[in-house]
Amino acid sequence: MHLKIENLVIHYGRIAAVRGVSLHVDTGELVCVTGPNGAGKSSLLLAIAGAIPLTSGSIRLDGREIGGTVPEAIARRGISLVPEGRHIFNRLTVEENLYLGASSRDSRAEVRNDLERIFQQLPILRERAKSLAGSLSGGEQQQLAIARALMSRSQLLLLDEPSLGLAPKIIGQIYEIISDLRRSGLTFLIVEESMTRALDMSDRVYVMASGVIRTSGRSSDLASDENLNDAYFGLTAASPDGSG
Amino acid sequence: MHLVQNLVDALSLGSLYALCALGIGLIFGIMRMINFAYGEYITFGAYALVIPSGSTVAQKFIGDFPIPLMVISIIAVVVLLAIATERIAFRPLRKREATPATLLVSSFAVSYFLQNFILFVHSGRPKSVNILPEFISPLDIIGLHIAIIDIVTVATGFVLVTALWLFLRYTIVGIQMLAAAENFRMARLLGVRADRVIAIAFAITGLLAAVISLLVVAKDGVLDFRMGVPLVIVAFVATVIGGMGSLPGAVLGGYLIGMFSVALQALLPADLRAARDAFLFAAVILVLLFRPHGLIRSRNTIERI
Ligand SMILES: Nc1ncnc2c1ncn2[C@@H]1O[C@H](COP(=O)(O)OP(=O)(O)OP(=O)(O)O)[C@@H](O)[C@H]1O
Ligand SMILES: [Mg+2]
Repeated sequence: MHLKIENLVIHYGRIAAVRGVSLHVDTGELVCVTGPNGAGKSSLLLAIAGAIPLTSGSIRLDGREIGGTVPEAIARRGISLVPEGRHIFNRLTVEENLYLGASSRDSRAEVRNDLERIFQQLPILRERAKSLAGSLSGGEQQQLAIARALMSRSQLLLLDEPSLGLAPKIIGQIYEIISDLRRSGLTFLIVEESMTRALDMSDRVYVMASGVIRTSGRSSDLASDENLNDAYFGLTAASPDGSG
Repeated sequence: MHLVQNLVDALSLGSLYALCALGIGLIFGIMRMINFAYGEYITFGAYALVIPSGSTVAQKFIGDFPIPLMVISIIAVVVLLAIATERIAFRPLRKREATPATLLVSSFAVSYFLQNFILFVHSGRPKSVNILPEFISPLDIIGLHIAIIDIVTVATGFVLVTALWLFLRYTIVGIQMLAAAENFRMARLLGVRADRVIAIAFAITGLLAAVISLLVVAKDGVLDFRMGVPLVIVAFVATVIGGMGSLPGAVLGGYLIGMFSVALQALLPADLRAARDAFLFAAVILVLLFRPHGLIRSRNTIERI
């Protein structure tokens, strides 16, 4: 699973949301994209997953172009997006949501096995299997959204702000789940608005603002760069992680 | 006595309208498009019963087949028509991210095209045709005269509504359809094939339209190139009353409009009966004033990524 993006440009009407972004993610890596509101982070993930069209540039998965393909085809190529705001199906049960995650797969027996495995990893989902997904708490919904993405057996997971709107304790739980999955060999590209958390959990970080990558590097190197926050959040100065 | 007969009438018309509303509601739920061509699916199914000709005397064609074969053939014809209209008139627009308004205009175009096609082939004069004479004769049960067709209509309505519910709730494609109706983009991100789900939804509306055309022709015995228009309007109103985007709402709306219409017919003084539909639609406006989002409110008309 090698993802390589070159000179990606995305427009909404005449407004450019992403203006020439290049980045790559190698097998087994956990890469974070961080940056202030409106930087274009969500647009980037949506375009990789095929949910919005790209104006120009290329998105290659293991050397093959996937840019401009329909989302259901990209899901079949082994990429799963957990979008910002989770978007679980409120009026379907937890179990139905999970089965939907396996829409790109054929073997029912394998899907049932995977469901059992997910229920073991995330017992709360087993408890609530027959409840309407809309009745879950925010943290449970985030677990469901990630579990649903896992049901596809995708090797590359794109997570858009998995901690959004969750209590600090729950955020810890979600990131523990992510690091467990990582140990099992999955590759991650995660949008995380908090610079601290991004640096903490990732191998590498891209800092994005106004549709371009402002800086990037190994998290261990960037963590000691004292000017990082000033340089990219200084203008807004409102970041809760201003201390880095 | 009279009451029971009226009740059967009311249930029969309600069932018919509920089936009409399901066809409109199903497509709207998934595509946010009102498919006005649905009325012409019904008309087309009805005309497929007779041999194409400009003469007013109808010669039966599929209408002469044995009942099971006739039903299957009409369903096949209308399902194919529904799938073809989706392929030709809606899919290419969808691929270009057309707005629901554009799709609506396209559905009007298909609707008028089919109407005029039938007008051209069969002439505009109504034709009478008798497909199931044994169904019109009343059944005498303890002094009540109840037409078999009304019982068949009520039973068919019940069976099809139940079958559709089971399909949506308990099959993989059905659940994919519900998911697509709630959030189409998310469903696709999970690998649900948009084209497939929409084609199946159109096939289902084709099946519903075919059954409706058989029920209507069996009861009224008349073919008219505009016969689908009032049905699709009632279906549209029923889905709005029920709550746009809610299938149970559409079914409920269909039954309510059918039953209310029969009740007005029975209860209005004779000299006001001609204005029945004015009363009916006044009631519709009243319902919408009190519940602008319909009886069963659906949240997913707004929620998208
Ligand atoms: N559907 C849309 N239509 C028009 N403009 C949009 C749309 N979605 C995003 N934008 C604009 O594109 C730019 C990038 O938005 P995007 O959501 O990708 O940023 P983000 O980095 O994810 O921000 P946030 O931290 O708020 O999630 C913003 O200026 C935004 O207003
Ligand atoms: Mg975002």
